Amino acid sequence: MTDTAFKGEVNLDQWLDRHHVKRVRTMATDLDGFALGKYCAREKFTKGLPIGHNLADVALGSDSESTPHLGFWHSFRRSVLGDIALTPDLSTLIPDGQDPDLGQVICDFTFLDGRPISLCPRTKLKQQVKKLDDLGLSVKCTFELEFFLYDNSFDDAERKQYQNLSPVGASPLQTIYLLKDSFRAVTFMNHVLTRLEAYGIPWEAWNDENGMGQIELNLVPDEPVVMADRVVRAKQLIFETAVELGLSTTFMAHPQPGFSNGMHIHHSLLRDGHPQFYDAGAPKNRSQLLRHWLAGLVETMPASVSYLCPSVNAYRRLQEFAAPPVTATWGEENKSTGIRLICDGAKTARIEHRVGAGDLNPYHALAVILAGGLTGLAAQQEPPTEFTDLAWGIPASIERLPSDIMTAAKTLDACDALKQELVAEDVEYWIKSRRHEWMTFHRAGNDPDSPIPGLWEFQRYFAVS
Amino acid sequence: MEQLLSVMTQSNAAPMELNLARILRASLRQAGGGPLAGLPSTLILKDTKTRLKLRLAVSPTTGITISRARKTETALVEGLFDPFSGAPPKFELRGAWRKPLLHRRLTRLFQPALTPWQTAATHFFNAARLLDPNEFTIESYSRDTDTRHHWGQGPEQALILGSAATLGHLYNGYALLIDDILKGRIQCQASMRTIAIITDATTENWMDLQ
Repeated sequence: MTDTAFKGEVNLDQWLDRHHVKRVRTMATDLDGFALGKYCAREKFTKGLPIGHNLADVALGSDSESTPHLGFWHSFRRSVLGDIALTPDLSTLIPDGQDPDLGQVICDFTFLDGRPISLCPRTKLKQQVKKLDDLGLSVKCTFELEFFLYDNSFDDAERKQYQNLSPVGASPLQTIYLLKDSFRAVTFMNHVLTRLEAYGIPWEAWNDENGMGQIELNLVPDEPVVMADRVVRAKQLIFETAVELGLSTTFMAHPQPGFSNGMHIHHSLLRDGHPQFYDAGAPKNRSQLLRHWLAGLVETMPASVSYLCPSVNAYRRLQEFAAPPVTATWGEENKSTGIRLICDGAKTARIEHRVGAGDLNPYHALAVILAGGLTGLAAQQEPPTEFTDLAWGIPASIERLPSDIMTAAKTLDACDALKQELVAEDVEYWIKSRRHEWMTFHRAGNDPDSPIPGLWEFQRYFAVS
Repeated sequence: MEQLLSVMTQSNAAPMELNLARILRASLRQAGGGPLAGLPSTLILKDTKTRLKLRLAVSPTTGITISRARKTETALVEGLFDPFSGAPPKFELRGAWRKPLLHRRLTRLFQPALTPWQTAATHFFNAARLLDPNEFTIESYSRDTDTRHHWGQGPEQALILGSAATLGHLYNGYALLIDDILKGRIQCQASMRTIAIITDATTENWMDLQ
């Protein structure tokens, strides 16, 4: 492994020497999208290549408190507790920049012989990208990251039981784009942006968002796996920067009444590098490929909510007139529908999928979106009528998206198309993991109807989402 | 003729609501509409463990609707509703509900009706779509009554041990296998995979039969 050329160097060892790497941090996301991994001595890391290092199989088979999924099964697990591997994707190896001796690498969960585990979220996304590649298509996409920034440290936030925290900002008003609020966050964001640039993660813009202390960060689009990797890294470094500056941040979907973190996903399809959504000769410039793709996305949207809103807390976000969509609808330049279509030019035509919550797993989210689009291509469907009204406060006869984690899981369970695209055993395991989350939530005495998230939700999601 | 009274829950019903709904349905099927006559139009139940309150809108002609009560509403009935224990809910009746007749009616209404555990086990295993009799052989044994139940003829063996009452709650769908194992009420000797698959089936049974 170390004898082959690596990133412009003679081999991996030379690259590690040049970047003074003495330790390597491995990183992969579990089903809930939480970053897991180990800090490895350089020798341990290189010796384990190409398969990587072992870790307990429950890393991919447990909840966010590492409670093993004892009540349901997947064939990747061992009949007794065993190990799986974290296999590094060496194309993602970078120097940390902040820690001069550290390198970082993104990994996949694999069997001990290096075979991929289909349940691994990153592998799941690769499967969908491969299907598109087989059709001669590629994807360009990006995420809008929203998070809250507080003057309180994580320790202080925990001591206060996450109540009455001090959001970073100058104004007590919930004003969006307010430069005085942005300025209060500049020191923090400059640290974040410097690290993003060191990681090779290009960004476009950031701004003060609607919630008090809420910030939105936009990243430059790229292909799906690269983009999801960047989101995972960006979330981790935002957390680390907050820790270093004595602040706290959260991507929790709904940390305060009235305001939520979403993660809107923009994407477009390309063939041979050329955008495919815009067709100047088609009605309203919407290509046939776009219409089929859109039809699949809308058709599978209710079922995809389970992956796009993975936590119990995420469903507090889906409220009428609260900015997130509540219906499986689409419309051009309509920000109240589940899908906002932008079709104003060949290079800018894209779909903004607006259902995703701030705590989503980016690999899962993109995988379920691509799978939905693929079902539309396969069936050559036409989309339902464009929704040109405001998609909130409308008659109850228009079906709403699932409003709780268990309804969403059942809706996904009933969707054969997505189960087929995403591998039925993996989807069923995911559904049962959501059932586990739902039951754990209720066993702790929580109320999903309360407008205020309970302590259980803060303890489970605030720091780690 | 049996009077059909409905017991409705919200779409996002909590486990305690689901278990309560099942108990009420079974009780109403047994006794027709009689138990609802003379009850107040609203009962507020409070689970003393989780402190959650449930509102039961009682209609002698249509049945009961279970929803989440507001925190400020005074609980008329307090009790334990732990949906995973499988034990009958326990209640303390307050205020006017100390009257012996009403006390008896409410107690009867909230009392789960259990079929004998072997009968329930047969029904459970035959209905469990996750379990294949050619893959699993499952033996259940009640230590206090020295009674056994066998199901399947597959190579994956599982032995489930517990009291008749605990097995009754499990197979009647009021409890979950893994929870009973973790709380020491049931022992289960099997591979982790087999335990997980049987647990999955008991959970489905618990959730689907509401």
